[in-house]
Amino acid sequence: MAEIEVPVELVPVKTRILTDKDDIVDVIEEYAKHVVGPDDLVCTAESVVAITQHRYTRPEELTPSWQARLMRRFVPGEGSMASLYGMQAAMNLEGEWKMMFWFIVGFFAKLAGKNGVWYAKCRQASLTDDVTGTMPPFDKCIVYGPAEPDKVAEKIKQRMGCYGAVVADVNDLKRSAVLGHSKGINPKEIARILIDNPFGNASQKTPIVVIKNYAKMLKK
Amino acid sequence: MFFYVLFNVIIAVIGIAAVLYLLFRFFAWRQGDARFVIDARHRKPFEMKEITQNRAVFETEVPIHNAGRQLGTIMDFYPRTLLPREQYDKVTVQSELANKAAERDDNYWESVIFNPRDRGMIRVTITLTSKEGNIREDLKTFPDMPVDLVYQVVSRSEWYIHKARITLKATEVQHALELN
Repeated sequence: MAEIEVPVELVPVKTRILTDKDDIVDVIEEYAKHVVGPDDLVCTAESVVAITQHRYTRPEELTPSWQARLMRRFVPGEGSMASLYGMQAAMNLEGEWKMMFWFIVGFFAKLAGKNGVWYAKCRQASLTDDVTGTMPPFDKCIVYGPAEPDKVAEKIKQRMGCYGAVVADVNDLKRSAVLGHSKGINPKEIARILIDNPFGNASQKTPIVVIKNYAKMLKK
Repeated sequence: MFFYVLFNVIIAVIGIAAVLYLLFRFFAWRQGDARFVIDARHRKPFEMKEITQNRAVFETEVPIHNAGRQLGTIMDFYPRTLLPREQYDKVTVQSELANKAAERDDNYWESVIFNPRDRGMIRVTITLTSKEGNIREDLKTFPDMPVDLVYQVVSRSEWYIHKARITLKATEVQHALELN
């Protein structure tokens, strides 16, 4: 795939606060219809997709297991998995024993010089956002990663008639990853374009970003 | 002989588990947790921010810091005024609390992370509204009113709710009335 010349035009789209009452594809159509053309690529923030899928919980709703109580002590304090409830939330989706098994495997892999084994095998450990991870009123919630992000991206592409769509996980710490994408999209390239976090996930309410004329840039 | 060996294996397993558990407890103790301190003693004196015919607004600021060894999140924070009608029945009381570092005008506490040794300031606003329509007259007999500052914390350990208490003192109210 062709290398893209920078700068590209990124258009953040402001929305109302989205909840589990919303459908992300409908919302994108409602707010971004006038912005999106056939050569554009629609990016949407993974935490907002997860919220519209009701993939969140509250610490008060969780009962921590002994595995969560043990393992969170060995995770650096800044991560969501250092929190007892962040860890338990991820375990509720991945399974306590699976998380513990790969945690131990990951520990030995790290000693052998291979990082990230645990996060690779237990995706919710890297996708789950602890409280404060997203904007009010979900700042008091633990938000999981989205379900079926490839399907969501494909639906967005079909509905909007655009070149492609992605579901992306981007933060202000210069971490960017594409979790799901429509067919024919290079996720690493899109992750690089989104590295400066145009979503502004805090309180800016811009969970949609349109990469204008992406298809034309590829042709060049 | 078999049972003797089995017995020794069981004892050894229990012993190893006990040692590992103690080591973990020691590690957890050394690692520590977040510990929030609401420094009610060093709050600023209540000031009268506004007075009208039937309403008076008082405000104070209270220091807060994380004295623990781990970061922690204050998920929620709200004031609870304690003025039963048996004690004083001339005003209605409204209270608000805000994080000075992240001002909002909707009385919503946005969850905030405090790193170890981080300091902050919360603003508490008390609005007293006269039931009879003359707040200056009513406040002449206003008593000391406790205000509980209730906060919910989550960090490495289980979430909990704690309270700190400040008091809107009768002397502060009288002093403010004299100045305004």
